[in-house]
Amino acid sequence: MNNIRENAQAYACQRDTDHHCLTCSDEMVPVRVIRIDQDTGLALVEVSNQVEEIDITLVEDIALGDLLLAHGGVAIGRLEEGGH
Amino acid sequence: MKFVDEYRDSTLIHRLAGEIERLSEGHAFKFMEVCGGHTHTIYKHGIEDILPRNIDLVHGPGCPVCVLPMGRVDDAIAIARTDGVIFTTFGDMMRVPGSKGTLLDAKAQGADVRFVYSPLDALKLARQYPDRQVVFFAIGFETTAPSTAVTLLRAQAEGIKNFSIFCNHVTIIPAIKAILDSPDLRLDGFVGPGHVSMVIGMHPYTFIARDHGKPIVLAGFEPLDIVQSIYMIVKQISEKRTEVENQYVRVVRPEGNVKALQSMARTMELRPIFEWRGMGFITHSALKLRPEFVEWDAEQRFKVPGIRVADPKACQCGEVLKGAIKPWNCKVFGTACTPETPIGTCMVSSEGACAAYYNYGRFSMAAERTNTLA
Repeated sequence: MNNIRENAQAYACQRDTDHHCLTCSDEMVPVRVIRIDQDTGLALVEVSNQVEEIDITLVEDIALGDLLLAHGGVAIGRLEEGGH
Repeated sequence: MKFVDEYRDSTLIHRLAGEIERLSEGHAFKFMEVCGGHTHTIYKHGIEDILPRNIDLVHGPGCPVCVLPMGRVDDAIAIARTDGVIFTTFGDMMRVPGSKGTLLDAKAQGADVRFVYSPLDALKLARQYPDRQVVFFAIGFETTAPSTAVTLLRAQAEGIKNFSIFCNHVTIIPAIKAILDSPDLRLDGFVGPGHVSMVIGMHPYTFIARDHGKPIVLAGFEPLDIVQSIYMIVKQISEKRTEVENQYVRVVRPEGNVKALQSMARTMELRPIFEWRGMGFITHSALKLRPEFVEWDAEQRFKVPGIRVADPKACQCGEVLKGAIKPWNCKVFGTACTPETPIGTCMVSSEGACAAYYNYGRFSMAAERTNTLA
């Protein structure tokens, strides 16, 4: 039964080990900036040991090494220390 | 791992749970976690088992897949079946049943339906296949709407005309208003959606504290985030305060992401009314493309049936989405409706309360039943 579920879900999207898909779930994923192209407003980021391209036009003053939160291929904010 | 381990500190979580028990003094409180991501964390980490039994968590409507009515899925399938169309979607939507099947069924029958992680991937397909019409099935709350907005602005800037958006974005505040106005449910406070709030900020929630006298705490997605936000709600109640507080300060700014809001405002506007699955029609609760973007509006470009379809009679997603019943109270939960063969949307997405219960909550469900019977 579990195999059927895993096969059905793997066909639809790539979930984590908890059958959780960040893209489908309206959740942000933390990504580390490794290259910035200001002309195109795109950056290469590291996420779960993979490199992906995301849009960075909605977040200001991005620097190499920044930890951003992205959703649907677009950076929405920065993860910052402090607070609780 | 930084930003993870420190928010899963079991000792601290149990200490906060003790404080919640002390401050709540045995009073029964019912709090709604609005966001499906929170529901997922609550069941994955067994948070209900850590909290004192007088704290009841009610799962809200913040699962983007769950709230989409069947008629809109039918519309999506109609577009996907149009000759020459490449229909792109986030994965979960492939399996959401319309009245005559799913997008996955349509794909099996020959429609070109493709799974993407981002609307920008759909735009890439449009560049790659200039002779095809590429449509992106845009769903989600304010967390996802900015990526649609950015993609539209890029399509406009590049003059890509074989790309369009089937826009189904919804907004969280009208849904919370509808829940607060519902006679079915008495709530004592809200665990607010952290990532939506990263976009919209803190101010839109003010009416919850001011007009309805309910505390709301915007929360992160790790177990400690959620337990701490419940502690903050109970603390407000014990101190007779009702405020909008921010537990997720490492991410949420009071003003939100102004650039994201501006990009949404440039490309989208509120629909007068929109149907939510299980919650009915809610005014000003969804977004459509602005007239300036009509060329990229799939609803204008393609013929869609636009027919309202009632939920299957056996399905009680509506009551689950409003928190009026627990998932396992639904007549078909775990029998006719499972993640393999979902009847209702709440069982499709891992964010859905039913799927979360099915995957993680069956032990606490059994315990709750035992207590109810005792």
